[in-house]
Amino acid sequence: MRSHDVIVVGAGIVGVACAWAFACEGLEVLLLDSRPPGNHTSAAGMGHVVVMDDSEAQMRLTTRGRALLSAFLAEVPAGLAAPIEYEATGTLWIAEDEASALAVRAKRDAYANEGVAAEVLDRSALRAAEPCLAHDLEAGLLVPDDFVVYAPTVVQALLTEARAKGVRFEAKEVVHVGPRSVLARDGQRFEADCVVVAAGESSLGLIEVADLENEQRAAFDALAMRRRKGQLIITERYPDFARHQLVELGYLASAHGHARASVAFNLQPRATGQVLLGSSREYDAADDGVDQDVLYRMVKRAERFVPRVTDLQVLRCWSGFRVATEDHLPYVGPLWQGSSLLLACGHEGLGITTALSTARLLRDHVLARPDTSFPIEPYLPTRHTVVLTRSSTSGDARGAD
Amino acid sequence: MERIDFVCDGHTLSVRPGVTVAAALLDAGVTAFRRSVSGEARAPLCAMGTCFECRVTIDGVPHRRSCQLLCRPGMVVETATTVTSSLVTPSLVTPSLVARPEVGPTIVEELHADVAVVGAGPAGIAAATTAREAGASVVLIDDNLQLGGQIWRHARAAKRPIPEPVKKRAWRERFERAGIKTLFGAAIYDAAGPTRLFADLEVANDGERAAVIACERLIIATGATERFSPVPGWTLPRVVGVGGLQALLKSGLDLTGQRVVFAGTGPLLLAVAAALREAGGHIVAIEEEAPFARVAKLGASLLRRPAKLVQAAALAARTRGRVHYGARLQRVEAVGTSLRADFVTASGTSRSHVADWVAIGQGLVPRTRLARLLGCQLEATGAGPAILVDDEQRSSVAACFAAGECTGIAGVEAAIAAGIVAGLAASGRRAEAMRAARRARRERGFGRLLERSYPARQGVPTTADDTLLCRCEDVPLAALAAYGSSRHLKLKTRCGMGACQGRVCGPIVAAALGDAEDRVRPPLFPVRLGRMLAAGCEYDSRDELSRGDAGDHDAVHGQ
Ligand SMILES: Cc1cc2nc3c(=O)[nH]c(=O)nc-3n(C[C@H](O)[C@H](O)[C@H](O)COP(=O)(O)OP(=O)(O)OC[C@H]3O[C@@H](n4cnc5c(N)ncnc54)[C@H](O)[C@@H]3O)c2cc1C
Ligand SMILES: Cc1cc2nc3c(=O)[nH]c(=O)nc-3n(C[C@H](O)[C@H](O)[C@H](O)COP(=O)(O)OP(=O)(O)OC[C@H]3O[C@@H](n4cnc5c(N)ncnc54)[C@H](O)[C@@H]3O)c2cc1C
Ligand code: FES
Repeated sequence: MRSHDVIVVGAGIVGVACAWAFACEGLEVLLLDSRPPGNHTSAAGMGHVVVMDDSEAQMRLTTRGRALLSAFLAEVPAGLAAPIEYEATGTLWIAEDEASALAVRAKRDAYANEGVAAEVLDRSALRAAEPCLAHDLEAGLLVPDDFVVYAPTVVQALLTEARAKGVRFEAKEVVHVGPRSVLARDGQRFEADCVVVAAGESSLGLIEVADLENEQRAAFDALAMRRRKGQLIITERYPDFARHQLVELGYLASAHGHARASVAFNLQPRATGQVLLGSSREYDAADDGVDQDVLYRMVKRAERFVPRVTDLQVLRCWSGFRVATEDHLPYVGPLWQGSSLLLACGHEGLGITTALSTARLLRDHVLARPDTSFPIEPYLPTRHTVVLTRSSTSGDARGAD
Repeated sequence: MERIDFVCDGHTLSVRPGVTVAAALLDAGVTAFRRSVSGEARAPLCAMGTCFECRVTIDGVPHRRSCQLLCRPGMVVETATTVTSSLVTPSLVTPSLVARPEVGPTIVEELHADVAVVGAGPAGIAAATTAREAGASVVLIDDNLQLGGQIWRHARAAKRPIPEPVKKRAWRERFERAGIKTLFGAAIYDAAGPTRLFADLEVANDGERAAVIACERLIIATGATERFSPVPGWTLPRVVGVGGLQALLKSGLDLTGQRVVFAGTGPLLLAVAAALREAGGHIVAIEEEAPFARVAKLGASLLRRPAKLVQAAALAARTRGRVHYGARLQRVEAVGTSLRADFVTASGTSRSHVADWVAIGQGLVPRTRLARLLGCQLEATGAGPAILVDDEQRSSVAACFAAGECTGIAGVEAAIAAGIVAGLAASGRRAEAMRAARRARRERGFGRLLERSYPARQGVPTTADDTLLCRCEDVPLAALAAYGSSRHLKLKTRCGMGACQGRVCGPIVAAALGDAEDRVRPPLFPVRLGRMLAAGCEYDSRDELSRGDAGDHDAVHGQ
C-alpha cells in the first residue's frame, strides 16, 4: 500500500486549506471527503471575514486568517469555473445606545493594540457612512479591512490550487482514524506519516478510542464540541441597499435569556446585490429545519437597526450548525503531545476567517518550525488537560485558565 | 366600455378590466421586462408565476411578477426597456428601493377550517366541493385571482370571448352552491406542518394582507408547471411556454393576426394551438418532437375511450395540416422584429419557421414544493417526482392529502376523480372514498398512456455549451458537465439559487444528472420580510427577545 506524507480527512474550508498549505511545502497529500468539497458547513455560513477580539488568541487567529485569505484571493487564478464572490465591505459595528457606545471605544483600542485599523464613527458619521441605518443609533466602529466572500467558491479556488500542487482528492466516507492510518467505509485503508482530522462536527467521533492509551484517552475525553444552530435569510437583489457588513455591538444584552435561541442583528450586502440577514444561535437544536419563531425575532431585531429591511423580499431561509468548543477557540494541533494524529475542528462561527491561519499553524507544527509571533499553544487540543503537560515543555496551560 | 389607465415607462396605457400587467405590456410591445444578471432583456415565459422572468417595478416596489397582477388605475410600472443592453452591469439595471413609498402595517387574517385545500384547479375544486358537501368546513386557497387553476383558468379578460368549458361550469356552479370560503391571490409561502399555513396576499392587489390558515386536514392540489429544454435563444422575449401562451391569451394578450410556432412535445401543443386559432392567431407550425408512430399508437388506444377520441379528433381538425412530427427545436434567433426557429429531424434534415412568437414546452412537471416542505414522500414518475399517495389520496405525512397533477400527470379527468376521493377521505367518508377511488384509478391509467407517448427528455441537453441553463443566475449548460449533483452544481455556480428557486432549471438539471433537486426551504414564494413579520406576530407575546450575551462572540456579531 502506498503511504502519503499527510492525509486530511474532511474537505470543508479548513481541510482544503490544510491540504493546500502542506502541498505548498512539497508534502504529498491525500484529501478525503464523503461529500463534494465545501458542501457542508462551509456552504451554510455568511462568509464574513472578520477580526474578532473576544480573546487575545482569537484576535491573533482571525487577524492572521484575514491577512492570509486576502493575500490568497489577490492571487487567485483566473479561469475558475465560477468567479469568487468578493466584496470589500469592511465591518461596521453598531452601538444601539450610549452604554454600548462606550464599548465601541474599548473595541477600537483592542484593535489598535494588534495593529488592526478601526475608526470610531459618531451618530452623524454613522448615518453618512450607512444611510440605511436607523437615525437614533449612537455610534459605530468601522473596520475597513474586513470583507465578505462566498465560501464554496473560495473552497473551489483553494482546491484548484491544491490539486495543481499535487493534492489528490478522493470521495470516501471515513469510519475511523488512527495516528497513521485512515479506514474508509468501503474497507480501504490509507496510511500516512500524519493524519489531520478536519471533519467538522464529525471529527471527534471518527477517532478510534480503543487504540488509545490511558493518558491519551484522558486527553481525548477532555475534548468536547457542541453544535450551535444558526439561521439565515437571503433576499432578492437590492444593489444599493447597504454598503457595509453591519453587525450589532450588543454588549448590553442580557446574559440570561432562557429562550431556546438568541438572535443578534447582522446584515451583509453580497457581491450579487442580495442582502444576507443573520443570525441566530441555538444550542442543541433538534433538527436543521427553519424555525419561524427564530426567523421572526431575527427580522424584528434587524428592523430595529435598519427599518427598511421589511421592504425586502426574501428568497430563501436556511440553517447550519457551527461547531463550538467550550472556550470558543478551535482545536488545532496534535491530539496529545507528540501524536501524529492532528485536529483542525471546532471553528464555530469563524472557520471561513480562520481556515488559512489554522492551516499555517498546523503546517508549522508538522514541519517543526514554530513561529514565535503566532504560537500554537492556545489552540492545542491538550490546552485543558494538565496531565499531559507533565512531560511537555510547551505552555499548554495557557488555555486552561 | 370601462377602461383602466396606468403608466408604463412614462407612457399611458389603457386596457380592459381584468387584464394582467404582463399581457398589457406585451400588447404594448414591451420586450425588456427585466434585465438578467448578465444584461439580457427578458420577458414572460411561464405566465403562471413560477419563472420570475416577468418581474417589473410597480409603484416603486421592485421584483413584482407582472403575470400575476392585474392592471390597476393609476399604477406606475417601470420595466428595463430604457437601459441599453451593451452597457449594463447588474447594479445599473436592478431597481433600487429609493422610490419606495411608505407602506402601512400588514393586516393578518386568521382562518379556521376542517379542511384546507391549496390549489383551485380541477382537483382542488372537486376536493373542496366534495369535502364541503360531506359536511366539513372548507377553505380553498390559490395564488391566482379566480377559480380554475391552469386548464380552467378564468378567461374574462380575453380579447375574444372564450366560452367557459361545460365541465368547469358544472363544477363551478356546484362549488358556489356548496358555500366554500375562498382565499384568492394568496400564495402559501410557508407552513408549520400541514395544519398551519401562511399565505401572502400580495398578489391579491388589495394592500398589505397576510393570512394564517389553521386546519385539521390539508389537501394539496398544486397542479403542475411546464418543463422546458434549453436551446440557444430560449431566453429571447416572445419565446414563451406553451401553457404560458394560453395563460397570456386568457389574461388579455391580443394575438389577432400574430404568427406562432409551437415546439416541443405533449398534448398541450395541439390544445393551445387550437385556442390560438380561435383567438384569431395564425399557427405557423406545430413541431411535435415525438415520432408519428408513437403518437398514432396513442390515437389507437383512444378508440376505447370515445370521449377522448372526439376531443382529439376535434383538435386535429382545428390544427390540421400544421402538425409535423419527429423534429427537434435547435435554436431560436431574432430576425428583425420576428423570430426564426430552426428544427432538425432525426434523419438530419433541417427546416425553419419564421413567426412572431415561439411557444415551447416539454410537457408538465408535478408541482411538489409545498409537499416537499412538509416532508411528504415523493415517487418517481415519467414526468418527474410526484407526491406519493395511497388509494385514499393520503400522502406519507399525517393529515395531509394530495390530488391532481401534483401526484402525477394524468389530465383533467383524473385530477377531478382524485379530487373527489381526497375530499371524501379528508372529511371522514372512507367507504365512499374507496368507491370513488376505483374511478380515479381508471383515469390515472390514461395518464400513464400519455406519459409513454410523450416521454420527458432525459440526459444532458445537446446544444451549445454557452446556452443558458439557469435563467435567474445566467448559468450556462456547460456547468452541467463540471459538477456531479444538483446540489453541488447549485452551490458552486448559483444554478437554481435565483428568484425561481429552481422551478425552471431544477427539473432540467435533475433529469440530466439523474439525481434529486435540492431540498425545499421556506419561503415557497418570495415574500416581503415585513409580511413575514406580521404573520409571525403571534410570537410577540411570547418571551422577550433574548439576545447574545456579552462574552459570546458569534451571538454578538452573529455569524
Ligand atoms: C449560520 C452560520 C454562519 C456562519 N458565518 C460565518 C462567517 O460569517 N464567517 C466565518 O468565518 N465563519 C462563519 N461560519 C463558520 C464556518 O462556516 C465554519 O466554521 C466552517 O465552515 C467550518 O469549516 P470546516 O471545514 O471545519 O467544516 P465543514 O465545512 O463542515 O467540513 C467538514 C467536512 O468533513 C466532511 N466529513 C465529515 N465526516 C466525514 C467522514 N466520516 N468521512 C469523510 N468526510 C467527512 C464533511 O463532508 C465536510 O465536507 C458560519 C457558520 C454557520 C453555521
Ligand atoms: C401552464 C399549464 C397549462 C395547461 N393547459 C392545459 C390545456 O390547455 N389543456 C389541458 O388538457 N391541460 C392543460 N394543462 C394540464 C392541466 O393543468 C391538468 O390536466 C389539470 O388542470 C390538473 O388539475 P390540477 O387541479 O391538478 O392542477 P392546476 O389546474 O394546475 O391547479 C393548481 C392550482 O394551485 C395553485 N397553487 C400551486 N401552489 C400554490 C401555493 N403554494 N399557494 C397557493 N396556490 C398554489 C396554482 O396556481 C393553480 O391555480 C395545463 C397545465 C399547465 C401547467
Ligand atoms: S411569466 Fe410571470 S412568473 Fe413566469
